[in-house]
Amino acid sequence: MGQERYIKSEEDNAVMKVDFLNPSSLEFRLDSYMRLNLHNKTTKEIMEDVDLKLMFPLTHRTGYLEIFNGAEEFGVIRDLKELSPKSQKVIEEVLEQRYFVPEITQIRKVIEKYRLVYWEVLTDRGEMNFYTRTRHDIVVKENQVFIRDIDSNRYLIRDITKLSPQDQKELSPEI
Amino acid sequence: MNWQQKLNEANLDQAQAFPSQLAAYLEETIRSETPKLAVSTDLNLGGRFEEQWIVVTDKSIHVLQQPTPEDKVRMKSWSLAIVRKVDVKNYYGVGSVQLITADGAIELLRFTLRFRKRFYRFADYLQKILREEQFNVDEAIHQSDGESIYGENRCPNCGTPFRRGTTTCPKCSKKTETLRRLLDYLRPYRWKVALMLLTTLIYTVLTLVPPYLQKIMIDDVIRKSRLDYLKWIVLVIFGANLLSVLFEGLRSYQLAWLGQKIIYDLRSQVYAHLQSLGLAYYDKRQTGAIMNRVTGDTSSIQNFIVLGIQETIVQIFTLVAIAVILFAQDWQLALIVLLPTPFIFFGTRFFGKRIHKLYHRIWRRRSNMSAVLGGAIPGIKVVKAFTQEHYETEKFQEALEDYFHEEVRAIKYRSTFFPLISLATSVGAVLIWGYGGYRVIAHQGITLGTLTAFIGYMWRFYQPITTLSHLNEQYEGAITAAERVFEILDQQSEFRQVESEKAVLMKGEIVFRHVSFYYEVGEEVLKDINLHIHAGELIGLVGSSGAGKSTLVNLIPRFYEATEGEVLLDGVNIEDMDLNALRSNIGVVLQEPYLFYGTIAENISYGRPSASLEEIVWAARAANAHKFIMKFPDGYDTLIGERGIGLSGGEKQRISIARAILKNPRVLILDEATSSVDTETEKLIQEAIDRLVHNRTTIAIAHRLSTLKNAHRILVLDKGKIVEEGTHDELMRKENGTFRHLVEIQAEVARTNVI
Repeated sequence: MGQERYIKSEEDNAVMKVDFLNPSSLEFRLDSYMRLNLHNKTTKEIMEDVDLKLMFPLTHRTGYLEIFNGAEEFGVIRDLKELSPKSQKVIEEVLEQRYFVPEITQIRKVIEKYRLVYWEVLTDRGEMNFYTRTRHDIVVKENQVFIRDIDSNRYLIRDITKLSPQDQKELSPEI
Repeated sequence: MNWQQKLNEANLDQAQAFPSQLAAYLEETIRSETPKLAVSTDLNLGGRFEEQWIVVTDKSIHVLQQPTPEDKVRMKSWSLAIVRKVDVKNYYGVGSVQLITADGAIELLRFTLRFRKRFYRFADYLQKILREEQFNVDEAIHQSDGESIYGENRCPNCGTPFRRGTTTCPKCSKKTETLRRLLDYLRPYRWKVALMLLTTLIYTVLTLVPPYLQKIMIDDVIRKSRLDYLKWIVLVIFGANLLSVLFEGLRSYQLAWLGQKIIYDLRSQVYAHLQSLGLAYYDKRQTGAIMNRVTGDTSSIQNFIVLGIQETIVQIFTLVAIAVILFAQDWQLALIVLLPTPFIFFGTRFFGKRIHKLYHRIWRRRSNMSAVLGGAIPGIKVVKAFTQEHYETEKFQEALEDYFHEEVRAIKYRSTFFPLISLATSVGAVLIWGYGGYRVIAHQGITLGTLTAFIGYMWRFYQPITTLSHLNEQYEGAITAAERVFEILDQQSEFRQVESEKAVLMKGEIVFRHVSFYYEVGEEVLKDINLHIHAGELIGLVGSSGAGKSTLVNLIPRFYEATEGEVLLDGVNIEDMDLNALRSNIGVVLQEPYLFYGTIAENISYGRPSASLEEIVWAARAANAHKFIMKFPDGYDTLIGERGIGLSGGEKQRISIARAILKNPRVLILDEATSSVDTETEKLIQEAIDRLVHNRTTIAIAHRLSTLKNAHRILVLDKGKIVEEGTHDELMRKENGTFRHLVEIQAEVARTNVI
């Protein structure tokens, strides 16, 4: 990026650089308490009960996964595909449990009710209905729509143009 | 009691009945057990939306799946004996309840965030079952605000979302109840209202007179060439118009007076109540929205109860009166007038609904436009510094274009609808002219005067119909505004109040006994704090941001109440003290001082308006504020705050310290009072504070640790717990101590800054 020449010291460089992990040396396992443990194949160290957080939970769910050892940042996995199939499966399972963003595939009804907006939708996780409060709860980014309901649940419309014309019409007053 | 009843009683969500099929299944399979707790979730362990029921009995935990038509009930069970602990995990858009056993964790269920509070409560009760403690399922519901299992956005009784901006449940509350409450505001002025209605009715009758006089003029004066009648009829017409104008003036005055009086009553009541509400109320709401309720919503209510109700009465009266006149004159012609009525009524309603959707879209586009403006104009320096003028212009252009297209659609709609309505009414007029004209010429029972009067009345007849067809929307709007205002009035005033007549002067001894606190269930900010502060002691409170320092000090003046445990002042639980007496003994100096619009003297004496000029100057001197105050030409009479002169952060802080000095409190709280000023000002402020803290119990939250050298004791807070305690020197001697570590970091930062 050409930024390196402005960096004062190696120490600063270490702080600023995204610490991407080398996935080939890492193995993630879930123990019987459903804790995520990280085995370092090279050093044979085991880091117990690590935490993970997606840096872009709405827009990029297959990478940029930050691993924490307690409160300390341990490193970042750039792409889940770089992990071994076994670890990848474990991480996907954990993400599935901890990040729940149903994808809306059909819009059955969007109406005003109790001065809120009431939605009846079909998602990839089944049928659901929910309420949104203000226009700030609906964010449109190009053809994607991110919705947050009154209870802070998240929903995603991956591509508005893929919805049926009828669904698009139903959605249009809200976006 | 059968199983269905037992399960309904054990159900955490009393608004939902336990499914009969599952109850029958349980009765058959686990007859020997006793149900204690039941709850439903909306998500299965595979992450799909599905209703599942969890039943806890005296022996086990069962998870049941609702059967599909071709399937039977499926149930998974675990013995309670294996469960050691229950954990609730709160994730992104989802939560999970886990049972911790000796061999590992079992994921019992998942839930969407709609059920977050419900499952914290469930876990709490399940723990109680494990410990064989008693609990009452009824307590889970009917709880106010944050404690209800439905969360704070929903009705605590049935879980239905509140109408936006209100705490009124659309299902449990009756609209007529809100209307009745609204009309109560008219009660003190009932005679004035009656007089106003009488004036309005007389005015309406007077407006109906001229067409009838026209009829007499044409039929009895002009056509019969009665010159002797002419002057009289002209005088009567003039008189009717004069009276009509007089009554209209009277009516407008009465309307305006009543409107202003009601808004005055409502605003004073709402504002006084707002002042009595606790800080927790303000934490959850935007200041702008609250202010809008005092100004905007009260205006809508005033419009409705004064103008709306009166207008409705007038319109209905006009409609009936004209219909009676028309039918009395000629029923056949009257029927023709009625012909376009259904079209006008239902057409207007239909148009109203369609245009409402369109307006909603326009409103969104307009908000988008404002959002672009609101971002770019205040941030114009940043836009220019990053050379994004072109990008911002394009963004605005796009929003503008969207808005333009929607407006054009609405214009098209309006330009089609209103001419159509006009057409319908003209059809009525044409038919009257045709049929009426024929009957006049053919001498079939009506005269030219009658026909002219008819036409005059006909035009007036259609107006009330369009007004009345919009009535429902007006009513809905006013009711919602009223609910928003009543939401404020219905809030409980700040905590439990204990009345006491005399102000008590305290010593200032503070004790925290097993104090815990959370703003949100499951997120404890303070955990089991035990603390004894002696009267006159200076305590330094340190810790990283989010450690709970401000929360801890906020409990002393009862800005918030401890969720568990108690805070004692001079040995008395502060919850048993008169709030005013308590707060009159406590002074607070905040990091960002707030000064009101007014003179410097008024700001200093804010806590003691009766203070003498000498005392004000003395306090300012003690706060090292006198010198800078005297540099202003107006001295202590200098206006500050909005529209007044600007003061620097350090100057504002010294005025707020003077304010605290003048109040002369026994307990003083300094919440990072010196953190946002330069070093020289800090020295002046520190001097002022040293004078202020003398002989008072003081708790100082300090960002700069060096300022705490004089503290009798320093407490280090971390993640809601006191982790270290001692004098400055004691803590500095601690190897690997948190305080020592923090001091070293600050020293290093100071060194680096010098370089």
